[in-house]
Amino acid sequence: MSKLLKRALKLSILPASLMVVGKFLSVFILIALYSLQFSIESSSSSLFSIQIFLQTQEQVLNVNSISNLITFLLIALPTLYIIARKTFMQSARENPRTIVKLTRLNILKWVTSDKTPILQITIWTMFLWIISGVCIASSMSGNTYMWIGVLSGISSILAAWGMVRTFETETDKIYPRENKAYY
Amino acid sequence: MIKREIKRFRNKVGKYMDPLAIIAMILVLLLPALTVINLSPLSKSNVKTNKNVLGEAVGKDLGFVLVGGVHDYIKEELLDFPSEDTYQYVATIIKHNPGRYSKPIVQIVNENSQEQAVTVSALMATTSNTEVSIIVNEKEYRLVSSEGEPYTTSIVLPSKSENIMYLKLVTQTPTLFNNNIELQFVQR
Repeated sequence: MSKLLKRALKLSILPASLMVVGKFLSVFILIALYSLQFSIESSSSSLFSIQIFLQTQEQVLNVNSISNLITFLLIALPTLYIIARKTFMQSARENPRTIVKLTRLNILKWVTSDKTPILQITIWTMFLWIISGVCIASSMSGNTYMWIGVLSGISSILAAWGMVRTFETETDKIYPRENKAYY
Repeated sequence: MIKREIKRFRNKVGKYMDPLAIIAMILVLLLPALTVINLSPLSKSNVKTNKNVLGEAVGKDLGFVLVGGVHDYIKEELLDFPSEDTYQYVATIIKHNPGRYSKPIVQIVNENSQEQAVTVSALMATTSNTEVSIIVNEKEYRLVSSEGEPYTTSIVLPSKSENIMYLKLVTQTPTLFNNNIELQFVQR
């Protein structure tokens, strides 16, 4: 099996599990927290045979919004962290001022070692796009607050921009631009 | 020698594993998304607007609410209101072994100060050796005989009462195909 696929599969397990476990736990914790009445009903025609039903649309809006936000944050925060880490790492190599700023912010350890491969950033960004798509679709159908859809949309665009930038930096290492040194 | 053969075998098999790995990768991306969508709760009132009525009240203070829930053989339940004072309950009966099966299907709420009568009739999509009856307030009413003969029955609902209606199926021989059942309630 190709090493790239093997590595991609390995890296996908954590975000995939976080998405499923995050959504599952957040829905049932919220139902228990608000003491909501719910029913699980079956259908043999749809892809999944089980569907959760709540009593009112307000309850659905609340539970869906908070659970979608939690799931989104579980994916978005690590993604933005690894992109920021990679960006600071590259910036620190090019500009000593970044090191000064990072020292002031006491996050110098972010640039001490480069353990973030481009593949990891790509995988996490893909999962961020997926959860953003789910949040936006849910917002548009009125089951999630609109601001969560907007927030996820903006975050996915930012993550895509960060991923493209990182990809650019990595390709510049292979095909260096003129008068510029890459490490 | 053996190690070299194992390595050669692994290299040979490894080439054919790539398409499987790509499928696995697609599944790893798709399944969490589908799971998140499926775990998003829906509201019963929201489904009502799609004409799949799970709870509705009419002018005579008689309310019908679909009980729902999971059952091994009675699935895809829908409660509809095709016209005023008429309710229609539709379900799929999954192929099953001989036996007696029952499930609470509809809750009928009579908020009126007078008792109300409801006429119930049933229809099976295909004839099977299944006897269909309903149980309300511990009384059993036969709707379809095992020969497929339909009956119409009238139920009297006491005032200010909440009545759970059970669907009972009695099968003598194994049913090999899924069947559809339709119950019609007409408020008199």
